[in-house]
Amino acid sequence: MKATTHTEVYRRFDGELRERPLRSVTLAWSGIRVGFKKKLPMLLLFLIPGIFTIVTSFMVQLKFEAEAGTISGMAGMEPSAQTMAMGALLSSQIGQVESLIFDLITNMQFFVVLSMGWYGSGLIAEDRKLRANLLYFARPLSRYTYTAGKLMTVMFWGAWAVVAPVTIVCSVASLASPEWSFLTERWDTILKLELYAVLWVFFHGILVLAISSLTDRRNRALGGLFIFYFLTLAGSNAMAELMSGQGWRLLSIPNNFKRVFDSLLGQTSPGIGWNLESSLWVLGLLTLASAATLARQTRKLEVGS
Amino acid sequence: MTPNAPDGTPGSASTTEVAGEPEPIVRLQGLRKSFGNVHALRGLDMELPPGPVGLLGPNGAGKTTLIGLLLGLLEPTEGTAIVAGLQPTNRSARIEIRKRVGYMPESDCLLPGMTAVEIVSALAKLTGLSRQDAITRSHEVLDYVELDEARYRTLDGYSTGMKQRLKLAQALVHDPEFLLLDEPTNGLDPAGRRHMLSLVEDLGRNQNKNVLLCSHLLPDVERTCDNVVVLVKGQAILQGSIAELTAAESRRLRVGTEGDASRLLTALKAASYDVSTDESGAVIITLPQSVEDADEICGIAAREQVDLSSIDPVRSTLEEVFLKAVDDSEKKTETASV
Repeated sequence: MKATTHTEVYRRFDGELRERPLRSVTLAWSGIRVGFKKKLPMLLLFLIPGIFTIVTSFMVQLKFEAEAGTISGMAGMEPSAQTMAMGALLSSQIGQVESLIFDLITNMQFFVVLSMGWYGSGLIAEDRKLRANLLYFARPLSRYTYTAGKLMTVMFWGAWAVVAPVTIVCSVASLASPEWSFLTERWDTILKLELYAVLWVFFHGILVLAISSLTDRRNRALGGLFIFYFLTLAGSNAMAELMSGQGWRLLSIPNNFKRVFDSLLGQTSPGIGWNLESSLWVLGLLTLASAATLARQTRKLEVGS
Repeated sequence: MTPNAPDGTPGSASTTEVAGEPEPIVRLQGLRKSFGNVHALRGLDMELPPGPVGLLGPNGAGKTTLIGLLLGLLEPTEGTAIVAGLQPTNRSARIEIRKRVGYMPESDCLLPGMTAVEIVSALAKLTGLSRQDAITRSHEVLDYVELDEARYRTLDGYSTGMKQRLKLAQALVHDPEFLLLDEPTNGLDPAGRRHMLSLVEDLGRNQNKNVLLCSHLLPDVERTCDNVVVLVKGQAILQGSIAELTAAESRRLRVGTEGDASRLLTALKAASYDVSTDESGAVIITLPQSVEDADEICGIAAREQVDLSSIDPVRSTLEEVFLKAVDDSEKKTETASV
C-alpha cells in the first residue's frame, strides 16, 4: 500500500553508531545554546560582573602604571638600594593587586549564585515537566552522562561569572606588571584563586541541579534555591549573634567558603573563628547530599517515572 | 548492524528467517514486572512479528511499563525478553538495545528555545552519530517528515502536527530497526492525523520498519498495522493478524433490503433467528448451527414479499474485536474472583 499524503523518500543511514566519550559535552552544548538565545537575562546577569571585571582590570593596570614614575625616580640611587627599593615597591604593588582580585572574587560570588540559579534551575525541572528525559534515555545515554552534561551547562554559566573575571584580571595583572612579575611571583596565588572559583562553581552547580531535580517547575527550583541559600545565610548569622556562638555560622554556605578561602589564600576574616575541617565537613556533606539527591532523581528519570 | 545473541553478546543471534518463519522482533515469555506491590506486567507472553504492529490496551494495562522494557530502561522482575535480538539482562545490553530502537514519546517532550535541526542533530550525536553524520541525517529525516524551512525556527511557533513530526524525525535519526510510536496522532487535526498516519504506514509497509504503534485510536491501528496485541492488566489477551481477527464470520450475515425491512425482521424473529439492525438499517442475522446457508432467509423474504438487495458476511471492526476481548477478559477475572 502506498502512502497517500507524504511525498518524501526515506533514506537509510549507512554510517556507524559509535561509543562517543563526549556525549555529556553534546548535552551541555545544547543547554548552553538555549541559554545564549535568551539575551535579556544574559545582559542582566552578566552586565554587573562584566563592569566589575573591567573596572578591576583598569585599577590593576593603573596600580602598576602609577608606580612607573617612582621607579624612574630610583635611577639615581645606589644599585643595591635601588634593587631593594624596587623589590619593596613591587611587592607592595603585587600585594595591592592581590587585594583587588580578592575583592573581585568576593563580590562576584553573589552573581555566580544568581546566574547559576537562573540558568540551572530549569535544567532538570524543565526536562521533568516536558518529559524530555524520555528523549534522552531512549538513547544509549547513562544517567551519569546526563548529569555530567547538565552539570557542565550550569557550571559554564557560573564560570562566566567568576572563573572568567578572575582569569581576565589575573591576565591583565600579569601583562601589566614589570617583567610578568605578577605571574612569576604569584602563580601559586593565581592557581589557588582559580581552584577556589572552580570549587565554588562546582559546589553551587551540584546544589542547583539537586534542587532542580526535586521539582518539575523551574520557578519553584529557583525559589527553593534562594530560600535555602539566603535562609541559611541570614539564619546562621542571626543565630550566631543571638546565641553568641561562632558555630552557628557553619550553617551558611558563603561563611564556609569564606573559611576555605582564608585558608587557601592565607587571609584572616573577622567573625570566622572555626577550623577549616569543620567547613570542609559541612561543604562535603552538602555535596554528598546533593549528589545523592541527583542520583536518586535521575534514576527515576531514567526509568521514565 | 550485526544482531546480538539473546544473552546480549554481539554477533551470534539472528533476526533472519528460520524455516520460512520470520524471527519476531520482540519475544517475551512469562514476563513480570513489579514495582513493590504493584504488578504492572503479570506473566506476559508476546511475540511481535516483523512489520507494523498495533499495541492496544485500556489505561493501566501496562503499556508504559512494556515500552520501558522494550527500550531497555527497565529490567524485568521475572521472565525473559528478547528485543531486536538482545536480552535486556545487563546494563550494556540494555544500552545496546537503545541503539536499535527509535522512540517517539507521547508527551510534549521537546525543549523550547531550540530549532528542529538543533534538537534532531543533538539527539543524533547522543545516539552515537558523528557530528557530520548527525547534521546530514537530521536534514534527511526532517525532509522525510516534511518540516521544510520551519526546521530553522525555534519550536515556540510550532503547531502540534509539526511537533509530532519532529518527534518522529528524532526517533528515525539513527535509522533504528524497531520503532516505538506512542500515540503519534495525539492532538492532531484531521489533516495532520492523515499526514502522520501516511508516514507511519510508509515506514511500516514500504520501508520495512518494525513498528510498534501504541494508540487509543483503533482506526489508526487498523489502517497502519498488520498485526495487533491487546494488553489488559499486564497480560496479552489477544494477539494476531488484524485481517484474521476481523475476518468475516460465516455465521453472521448483513442483509440489505429494498424498502421497509421491518416485516422481514418480524418474520425472522418469529422463526427464532437472532436478529438486529445496524446503523444503516440493514438486518444483521446470526445463523443458528442447524442452518447451513442463506436459502431459508431468502425463502422467508419471498414469503413476506420483501426484496433483498444484498447478503454479505459481516466483518468485525477492530474496535468490536478489542471491546469483546476486553469484556471477555473482565468476565474471566470476575468469574475467577467469585
